[in-house]
Amino acid sequence: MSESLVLFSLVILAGLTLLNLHLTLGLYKIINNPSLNVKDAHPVPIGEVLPPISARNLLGNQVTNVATESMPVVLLFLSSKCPTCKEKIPQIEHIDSHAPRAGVDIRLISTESKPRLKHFLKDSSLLHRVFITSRKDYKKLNPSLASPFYLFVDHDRQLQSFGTIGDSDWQVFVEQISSIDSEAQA
Amino acid sequence: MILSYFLFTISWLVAFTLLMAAWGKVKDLHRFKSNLRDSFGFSARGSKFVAPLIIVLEFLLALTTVSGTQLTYLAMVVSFVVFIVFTAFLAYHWLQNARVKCSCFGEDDRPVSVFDLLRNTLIILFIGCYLVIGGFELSLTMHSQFLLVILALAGSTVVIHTHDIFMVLLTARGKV
Repeated sequence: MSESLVLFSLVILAGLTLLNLHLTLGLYKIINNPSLNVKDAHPVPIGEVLPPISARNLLGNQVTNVATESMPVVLLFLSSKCPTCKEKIPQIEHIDSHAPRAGVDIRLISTESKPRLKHFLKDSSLLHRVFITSRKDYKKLNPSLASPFYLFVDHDRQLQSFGTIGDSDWQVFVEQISSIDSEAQA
Repeated sequence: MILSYFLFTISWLVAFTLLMAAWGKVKDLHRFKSNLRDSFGFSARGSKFVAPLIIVLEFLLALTTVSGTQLTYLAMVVSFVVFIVFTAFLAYHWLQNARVKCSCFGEDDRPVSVFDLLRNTLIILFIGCYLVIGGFELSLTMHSQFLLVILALAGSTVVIHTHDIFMVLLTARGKV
């Protein structure tokens, strides 16, 4: 075997070994850092007040805190890159149309650009529910960057529940909204 | 001499990548067909026809690339064109709505990312190098060839998992 082949092989193997080492260290860091571990990442503990998060709506108006003190709010986290999020839009629109009667405010929190959000929520009534915030603040509310994800926040800005849109708590919420809808129709 | 090692490794790296792409699609053919419909606008009938065609093309290109015959260079030319067309197609859809899914290697149900496009660009560059400086007869011993094939196999796993590698590195740095 020629020297040049050994040299060529060693260079490639060294590169692959370094990459492997780098990845292993990265994985080790993720496993040992709860805020980086997607499975363990969660927002503030239940019952605690959410940190103040400022954001802008699509018209450019700024709010100092996305969780208002006047009424309970449902903070939703959808991503244009998540196909499941797109499927949830009709249900969220339905909830949004009955939310004022239930005394709940619906807000979509995002870090995506306005054009992308407008394309994602094209023809949706949810467009005026969108609030754009910084990535840093977004992670304070949704550390795992999960989507479709929700936070139920009461009028004292305390976190009541959180999870994936469609889970059991979410289903209970949808049933409550539906019952309000049925009562209104009756 | 190092140049011939490099070219030989590239041809096998491309072959392994194509082979794994075809195998990934065969493993979850149903998902691949549904992605052709949902992401690329194929009809149900069209996806049934196109899906096996793409898989067979990838298998054939992979085998021809490493056949060691005069067809190797031709296979690399075809691979070059296929990768450019497919990457341009993916990039166009990605820029349009960012929700296009590829299942290029039978991976999880996730949309195409910029790292997938980066991977394809890397493969195009590799093939480009081969086409520009290659095309001559490589005289390598069996032992040398075996070693280079193993290196190409290791390299192809890196190329195929470009998205996952970047996700791990970015997550570790808290950027995802």
